[in-house]
Amino acid sequence: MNARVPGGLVLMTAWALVLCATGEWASNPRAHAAQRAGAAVPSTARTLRLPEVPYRYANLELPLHFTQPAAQRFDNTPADNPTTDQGATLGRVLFYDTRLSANDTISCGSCHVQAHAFVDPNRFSRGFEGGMTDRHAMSLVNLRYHPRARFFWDERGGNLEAMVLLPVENRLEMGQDLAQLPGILARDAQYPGLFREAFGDSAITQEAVARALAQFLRSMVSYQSKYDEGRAKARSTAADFENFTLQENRGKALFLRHCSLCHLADQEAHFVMVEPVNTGLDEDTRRPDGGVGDITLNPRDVGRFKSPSLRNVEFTAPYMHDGRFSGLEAVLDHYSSGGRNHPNKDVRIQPLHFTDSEKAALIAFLKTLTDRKFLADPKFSDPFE
Amino acid sequence: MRRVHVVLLTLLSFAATASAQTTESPDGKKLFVAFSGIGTLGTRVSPDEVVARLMSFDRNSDGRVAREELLERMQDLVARGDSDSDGALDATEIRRLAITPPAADPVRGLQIGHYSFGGEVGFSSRSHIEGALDDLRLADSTRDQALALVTGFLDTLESPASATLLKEMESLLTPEQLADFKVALTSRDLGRDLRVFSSAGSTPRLVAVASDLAAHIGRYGLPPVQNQQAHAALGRFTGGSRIGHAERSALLDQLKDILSDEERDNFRAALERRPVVKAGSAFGFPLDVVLRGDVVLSGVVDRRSEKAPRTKLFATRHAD
Repeated sequence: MNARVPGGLVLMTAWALVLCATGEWASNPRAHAAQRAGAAVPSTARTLRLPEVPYRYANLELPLHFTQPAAQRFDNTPADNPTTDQGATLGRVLFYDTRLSANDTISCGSCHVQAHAFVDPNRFSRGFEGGMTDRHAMSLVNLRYHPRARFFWDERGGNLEAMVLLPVENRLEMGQDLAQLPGILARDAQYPGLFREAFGDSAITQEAVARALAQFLRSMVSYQSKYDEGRAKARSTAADFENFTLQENRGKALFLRHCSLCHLADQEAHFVMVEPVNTGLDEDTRRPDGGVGDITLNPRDVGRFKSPSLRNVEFTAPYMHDGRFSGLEAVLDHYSSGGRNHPNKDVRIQPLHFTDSEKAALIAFLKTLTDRKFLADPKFSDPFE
Repeated sequence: MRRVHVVLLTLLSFAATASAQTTESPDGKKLFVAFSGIGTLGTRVSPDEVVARLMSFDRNSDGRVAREELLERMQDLVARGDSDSDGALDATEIRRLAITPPAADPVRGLQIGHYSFGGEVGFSSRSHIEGALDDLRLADSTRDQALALVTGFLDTLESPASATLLKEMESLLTPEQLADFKVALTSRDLGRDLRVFSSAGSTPRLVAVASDLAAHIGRYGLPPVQNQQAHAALGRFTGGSRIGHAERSALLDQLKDILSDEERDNFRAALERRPVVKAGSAFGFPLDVVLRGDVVLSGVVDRRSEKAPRTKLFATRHAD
């Protein structure tokens, strides 16, 4: 694969090497801040490498269970921002560019790690100045298939085009001044070309940045798991899958009976929840995170949280909005107990009293949602070297 | 001409947890009704609790929550509710926001339903128990043995209750209604009702529904006293055919020679669960169907027949 290496970035890399060699790196404020925050090496100190022919992000050959009308209804791609190979490529560069943070220390990819299905493996994430978030970074897998197109744990973000810049300008997370961002990016000679290829116009605007990021996020479709292979050959989701072990099929049956009402409603592909739910994580309505209720102030929304797709859930620990559960066993223990008695607890959350062998079967099934091709796909990886 | 490409079996996994409610239009046609709402256990957080929650952010105890006292993600609330433009929210303003929250976003093409315990909306113990047996994924011969035993056990448990119910209904329903009720009672035991709902000119939809016996009674338009008696009879039936602790133990004891200890453990756990179903919403899929006029087709799918499908669709009403 051929790579394009922008001249400006080569110079910056050389400059960074000089800084390192002369010991000035440690005294450089930006580098120091990055080090303090445990952050990535700034993009400006690395080389952007992109393939000559863009990776394929658009027009994926999705399996039948993704393309059935019931599943397609979940697609939130807006008519005015379809995903293109060039647009998602630009989005990928932006996603991993530390210049989106105020002090050039972290990128979106710092907290959304591909190998972990784009969650942060830490319970909370460190912001650009070292501050810690109070929620776990959500998985970005299959964001395209959230039909209500509301994002974040509390659904405060509208469609992806509207939500992608919120973490960028968040004062704790990336702290960037959005008004300044186009100018910052324009200083890199590579960007105007990338914007032109993506949108036919080299102008760098907040809107174009948001659209490109949204395209990249929407392109992150995981559809090549063991579940998908089995589903493609089976008569129905309920039928035993030939490629599953007995334990996995038992786990699937249990999942369909007890979990699918929320996590696989009305289709058989996405493993997302259509609406936020109060799962009885907390009893107290006053002190803990109020979730959607803190945004709407609707009493019935207090304690309700959005759920990410369960695809690749094996790798998205720790779990829940505050990362309180370190493993899937703890999650199943929660649902097995029926959760705590929050007044808004959803009626679907009932004590399930799973036996140990049922828990093992459910976990075995959940692991069939792992898509290793997705987790290692270079088209989603950091393009800066 | 009617051409129904049946995709029922594909739907079975979803039918297991879904139901729809239907009602009658003034001209007697069945209508497809969707509800929305979130099921909770009956309690809800009150507006007062929302006020108390927000006021807990009042770090300087001045009785108002200023923008900077709120978490960044909540700061837009001030712009939404600050009616006196003092840059903060007081308890009155918070309360106003709590009782007039923004309208929920529509869900494109999807129906968000509410949920209920299966036993309360017509799902029989039989489907729950047989489903629990299915979930064990037993070897065929073991499953057949266990199913035969479970079926016999349930027949013994339910037959007297069903007979009593039908006898009581005889005096309350017309012969037509009684026939309809018998079908509903039977399909409740067999598995799932699947119906095609359509009006002339609209896209037919296949909808999975439970045979909600109470809804059936409701549709008969009985005079108040008979209606009450019918529901009371149904209540007795539901109570009489429910598998309780003693029945559970007896059944598990009978399965001792068929299932392993682990399988019986899992079966016991499954039987102790109360199945929750989507009770207030229907889901449907457009069918490759050519229909003339208004039509409602009904089908009964025997969940046990997946290996040898015995699905049938039959017209119960058509007006063309």
